[in-house]
Amino acid sequence: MDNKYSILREPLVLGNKSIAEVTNDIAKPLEKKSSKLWWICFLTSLLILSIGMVAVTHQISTGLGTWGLNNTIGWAFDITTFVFWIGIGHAGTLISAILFLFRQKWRTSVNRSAEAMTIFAVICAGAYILIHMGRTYFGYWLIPYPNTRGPLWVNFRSPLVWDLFAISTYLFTSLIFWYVGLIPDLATLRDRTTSKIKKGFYKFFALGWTGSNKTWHRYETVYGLLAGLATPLVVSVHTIVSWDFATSIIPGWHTTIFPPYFVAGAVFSGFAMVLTLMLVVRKVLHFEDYITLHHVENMCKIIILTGGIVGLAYATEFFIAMYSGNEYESFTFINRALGPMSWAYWIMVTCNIVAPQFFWIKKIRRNVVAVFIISIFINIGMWFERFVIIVSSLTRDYLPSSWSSYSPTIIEIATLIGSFGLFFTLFFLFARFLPMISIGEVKAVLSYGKNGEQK
Amino acid sequence: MNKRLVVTYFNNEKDLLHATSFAKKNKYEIQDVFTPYAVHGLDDAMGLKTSKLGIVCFVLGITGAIAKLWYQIWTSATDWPINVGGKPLNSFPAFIPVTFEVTVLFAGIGTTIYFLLSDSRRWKKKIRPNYKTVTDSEFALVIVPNNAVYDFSETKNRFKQFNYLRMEEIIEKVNNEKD
Amino acid sequence: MKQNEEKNFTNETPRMHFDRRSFLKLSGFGLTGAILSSCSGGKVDKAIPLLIKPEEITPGVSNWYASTCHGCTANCGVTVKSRDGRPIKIEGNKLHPVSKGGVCAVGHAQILSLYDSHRLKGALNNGDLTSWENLDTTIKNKLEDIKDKKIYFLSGTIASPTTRNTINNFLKQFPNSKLVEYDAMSVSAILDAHKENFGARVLPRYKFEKAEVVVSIDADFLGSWISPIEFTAGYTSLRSLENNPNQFSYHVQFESRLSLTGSNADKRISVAPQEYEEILTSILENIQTNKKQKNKFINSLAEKLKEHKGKSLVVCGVNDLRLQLLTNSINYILGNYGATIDIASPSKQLNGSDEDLEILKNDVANKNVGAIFIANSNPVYDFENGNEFGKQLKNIPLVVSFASYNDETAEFSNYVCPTPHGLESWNDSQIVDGVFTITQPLINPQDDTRTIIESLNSWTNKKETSYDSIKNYWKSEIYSKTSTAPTFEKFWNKTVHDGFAEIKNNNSVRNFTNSNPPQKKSIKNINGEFALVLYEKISIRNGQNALNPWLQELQDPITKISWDNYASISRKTAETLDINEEDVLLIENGNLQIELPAHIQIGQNENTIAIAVGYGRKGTNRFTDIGPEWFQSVKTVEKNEFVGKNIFPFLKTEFVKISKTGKTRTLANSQEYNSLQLPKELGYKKEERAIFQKTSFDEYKKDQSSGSIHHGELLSLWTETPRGSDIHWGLSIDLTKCIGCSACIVSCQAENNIPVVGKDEMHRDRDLHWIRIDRYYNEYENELDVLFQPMLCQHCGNAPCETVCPVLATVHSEEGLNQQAYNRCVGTRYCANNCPYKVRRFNWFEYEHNDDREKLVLNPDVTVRERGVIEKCSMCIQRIQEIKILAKKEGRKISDGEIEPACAQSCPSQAFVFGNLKDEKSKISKLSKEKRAYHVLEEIGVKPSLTYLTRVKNREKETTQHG
Repeated sequence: MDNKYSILREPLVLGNKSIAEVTNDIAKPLEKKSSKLWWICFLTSLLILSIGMVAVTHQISTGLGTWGLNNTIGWAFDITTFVFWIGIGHAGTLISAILFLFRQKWRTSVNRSAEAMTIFAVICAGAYILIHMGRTYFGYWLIPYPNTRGPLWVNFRSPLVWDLFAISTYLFTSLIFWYVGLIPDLATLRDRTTSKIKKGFYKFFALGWTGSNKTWHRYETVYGLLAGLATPLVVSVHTIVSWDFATSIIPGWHTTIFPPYFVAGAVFSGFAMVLTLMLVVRKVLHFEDYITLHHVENMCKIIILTGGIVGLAYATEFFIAMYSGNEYESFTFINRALGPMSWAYWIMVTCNIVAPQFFWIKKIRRNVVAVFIISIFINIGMWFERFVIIVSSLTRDYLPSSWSSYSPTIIEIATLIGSFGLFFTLFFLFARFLPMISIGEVKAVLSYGKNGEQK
Repeated sequence: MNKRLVVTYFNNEKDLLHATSFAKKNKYEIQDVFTPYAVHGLDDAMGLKTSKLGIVCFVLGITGAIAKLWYQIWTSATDWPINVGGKPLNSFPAFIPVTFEVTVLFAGIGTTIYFLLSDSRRWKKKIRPNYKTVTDSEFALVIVPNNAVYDFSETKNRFKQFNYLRMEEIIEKVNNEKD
Repeated sequence: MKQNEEKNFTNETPRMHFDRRSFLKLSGFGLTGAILSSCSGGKVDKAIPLLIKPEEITPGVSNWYASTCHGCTANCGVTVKSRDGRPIKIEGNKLHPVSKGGVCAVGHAQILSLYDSHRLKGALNNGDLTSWENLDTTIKNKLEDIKDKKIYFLSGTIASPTTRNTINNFLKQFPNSKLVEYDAMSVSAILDAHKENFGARVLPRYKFEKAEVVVSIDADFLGSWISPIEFTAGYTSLRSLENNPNQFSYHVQFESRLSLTGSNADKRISVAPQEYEEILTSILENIQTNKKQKNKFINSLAEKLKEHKGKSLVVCGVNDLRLQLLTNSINYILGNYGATIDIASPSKQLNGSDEDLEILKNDVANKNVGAIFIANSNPVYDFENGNEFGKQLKNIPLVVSFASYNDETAEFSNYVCPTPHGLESWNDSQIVDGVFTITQPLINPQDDTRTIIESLNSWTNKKETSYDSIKNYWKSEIYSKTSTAPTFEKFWNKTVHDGFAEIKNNNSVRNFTNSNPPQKKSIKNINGEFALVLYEKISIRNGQNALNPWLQELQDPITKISWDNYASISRKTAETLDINEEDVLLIENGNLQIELPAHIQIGQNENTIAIAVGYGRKGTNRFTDIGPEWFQSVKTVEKNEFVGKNIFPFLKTEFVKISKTGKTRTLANSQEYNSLQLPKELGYKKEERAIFQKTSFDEYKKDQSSGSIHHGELLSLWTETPRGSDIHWGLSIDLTKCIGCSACIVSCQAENNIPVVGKDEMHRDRDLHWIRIDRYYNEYENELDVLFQPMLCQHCGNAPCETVCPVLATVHSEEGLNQQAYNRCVGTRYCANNCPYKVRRFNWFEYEHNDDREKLVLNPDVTVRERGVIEKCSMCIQRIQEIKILAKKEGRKISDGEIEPACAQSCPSQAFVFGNLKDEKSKISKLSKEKRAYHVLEEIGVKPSLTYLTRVKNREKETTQHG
């Protein structure tokens, strides 16, 4: 069969599938009984989620004092994890939107689950915005709706209001984008499935899709437009998140480099997370033919690039801190690298700068286990990046009298774990009831990289 | 009144494309083509014009932008001016981020909704050939035999060259509606 | 007059739980109630709304009444704010000749003790409640039996002439009776020394306002010695540059521990107690015979003293006759008597006699005492042999305690006659010879209590309330001596109004008779032993205030530790014995043992350890339920444990051994980093942040702007448009005057309803104080300089907190104030993060009073904040509004200095000045234009409304490296 493959391009789908086979392969897992493995995964994440819920309940009913914060350090695990999740989200949009505009055909087998990941990540981030407030139940005051208090509006100069708009827009747009992408596949499932309930479900959400080309024609336009909108959006969202810090006056936060730095970091961590997930999915659902080493390799390459940008950003920060001659700024950075919290800083450097360098070696890029491990490291590293920026800067600010130190409480840690629980619970539900790979789009690229005709 | 339709099934996009352009050339009225995925070049083969969705999207976006920008300036400078951090009441630069987000929100959601509504008419159609297979692996070309002297078997012969899987003739109830 | 009193009151039994209704009842009751009740004689128990509204009481409007503080024996003059019948705030009495308008932290906290429901509810007969009638009869009968036995009246210093008089009259009936006064932290030696030198046992009145050179041997006169507020006012009056820019006093402190006074000295020398004598003798020798000493500094100091004959002052805080006699001789030779030391009209603030006390102790030990009355003191707690003494009391047929709590001593007494709080009863006091003050009650006694005077009266079958007794005494004894007022009533009313009366006394100046000091004690210092130094904290003092949560939570100005006492050891000791902060040490001398956590204290003499008295008080275990409870919270104290440990058993111990126990105990230290110099371990040499600007007096005389660094006008990113009204409130803080006494902190706490958070929260850096005093150590050339910087909201013009608040909860007022709308806050804490001064406070929990009655202290003008919102200094906006409304009603402009925030009002050294920056003539705008004026962190362009004035010390040069 090998002779069927071109020397120039690797095919995106292996195993020389026919269109019908594709439908089968992807739809099968949704039609047979859920495997033991799935139940284990699902229930574990559900358990973790409930631990988080308990912690959050205690916190909201007792007070934010149940977190390790103090007068000097007002944010720590909460905003760190919030930024972390937002960052994770970005890879999804990048794959589905930006790669779409660049006509990167290989995106087709991963974009569906990447988009799902985006949505779930943004949900986790949103949850953190709510619970980090002292009076969660008044969170809606951030929305500028006409009210009986004057009306008293909101402060549109505050990065937190920008956040609110950015993140809600991001959530909605990603949802729509994801759903629009799903419609044809839902139709496919509708026409296949035998179970009544499922049929009803799919039928409703497929909105009576027929596959008429007149619809396909519009559909493509809409998809293109959405991709075009999502692309600047994904950049803007993390830029705005970075402004939470950049517009403040705390040394270590007040840095103009943050927007590009954060966006790169987001994509970096995002792809790491996509890899972590994909490699599992690929194994569990036997999608080796669809999510090929070729895909893995491409993502590794993107990680090298973005990782490089992040590394450069770290260096620039330091250089500017020293070069600016700002006593506070330079102290903050010396303290970051050598001070009481330097351990966090060096974890960050090892995971984000050193780890990705292994991807220069093709062998490692194509070694699933190695890639998986490294991707985990990068996830940890990127969480620590935000932790270092937020906490180490706050612990040592202007007045030495208010310098303080931070250590998390059990409640905080439980909440952090819980957010992962939420994420994976949602993800496993998705894996169970919706096609993990975009059937329609994969069919379109079956012939990619093959000589002459198929069959 | 009733309407006769001829549905031809293919199992790959190449044949479909040829058949479609053939039909077009021979002045068959192509009612529609059904495919499992977006087939490239089919639009031209059917001679579809580019849709107006782009304009819709743009207009909506602009609307959102202007509305939001005005809203921000009005709330913070006109309706209840408050001194916040000594900044000017109309701190225009600070209003840009939100303006941008709302632009995207309007454009994105608006366009999608417009798309769904504008298309819903075709989806609601009562009778349609049993197209189950087209969401899976088959491609269907639906033509309306328009010339007075019409012969099914003759049409079959004319399309043989495109080695279709099968060709069916169906009668569609038309509750007088345009296409 | 008596008639309509009766009209207003009915006699029923008291009930004091505070639901809304009884609260309103009390409101109606008001001050008149208190006064009338005390004149009426008949006990007024239940408050009912007044039928006729007294004209001076308007609901919602607060009245101020002059009174006297009984927080310590200094008896400063205060004015008390009464609102709807509730006294809610104590402040200084500006007219007062002695305290001159200052009140210390302890004084401010008294208002909370007033509402302490743990005070005794009524008389106790062997531990259980009884009626006064029964008690009186039993006591009278007992007295009959033991008439001619020895009868003692043991008391802390009695400042009240009337009380003293009553006691004497009471004791008169017993042939064999004696009044013994003592002070827990005794200064008896000073009085004895003066008896030897001047023939009169008096405590001289020190006039720091006249002393241009001050030499203090271990006397913490700014913190806890005799009359700190009076001394602070005097001391700082010679160190205030805007009044007389070319005069500045010179202060040298010899001490073994770092005291508040020492940390304000121009030159501080850390010596062990054993060396005090040598220092004094060498100074004496030098000024007597001009004989040069080997110690250069002593010589230069002696020179200075000689230059300032009659304008200098040497004080010694050690209770040792020999040292005191030396001190007297020095002062005499320097001609300070009659100039900076007044023994013609001496102080009456401490009057204890160790000699008498010893006699009493022996008599008690030898079981030949018939009866003992114990007042204003807690001997079982603060005697070195307290418990033993307590047991010995059991052998005495009649033991009566006047304690208002069921304290250590009350436990061992047969009968307890609880006395009311200072603000619940009439009282008087003689602070110094010639100044008499009146204590005016502001509320009816909340519990069934009786003043000492009343109790004694009823035992001598005199039907007289303390009010009558006092008035009578004043009529006969005090008014007769003065001819200022035409009638007594006029004199009396004026006195009650002002709170004090000054009476000319024509005591002749006594002359000095040199006495040869007692034999020098042979001080043995076996090595490995440390000299033990006991001291009073400015908050807890001798333990009298240990039950007051505000004071327990007030950080010590030096160590910044609250809710504990500890053993302060020097760095060197810590290194040699390898002791870490918070290691629990075993401190022992013979069979005396105590375990205390170690605190490594810069400036502590290496041969000494210092421990604060006043801790381990019975009843402090009630703080077990103070502060929030949650998953990982730690109790302030365990149910069966007290706050800190009682060190009084070591009172007479000079040397102790210390050893590690291996245990540790967390100390709630609210300041982690103690220097303005950046950490050496990060490779910084001497770079220092220009947050605290300082210079020396010499440099200041050359160039008034010396020491201050300015960054010039910063560019604005937007075009500034002039906004706001013709008012811009500003506050200036003179770092030269601020001595770090922390009075402002408690004053603010009382004014702004700031809750107590408990030890665990303090330890987690979550104190809620709106104003804090940053304390930095600046070490150079083995000198230690201590910097005190009050830090509160700077009310920035370009406030970073405002810009980032998403919901407009913190915005800028037309009058330049940074305001916080608690009800709008959603608690994102972004503002707190973005505050460069870190002065914003977050309500991490719902903080409740651990004593329901204490809710009465709340200031109705200030919102009580909910959990989850940010709060911070509001520049006492409620006070600003009050005056604005007043001025508007009277159709006039607000005059400069009319408005005073709580912190400014309370400051004994007037370091704070509040006013309108836009008013050219106001004091604040003058100060803010001074050469010394600077803003903290002005380089980051937030445009603070607060101005700091460079600290000046009387030194040759100030070594400062700004990074």
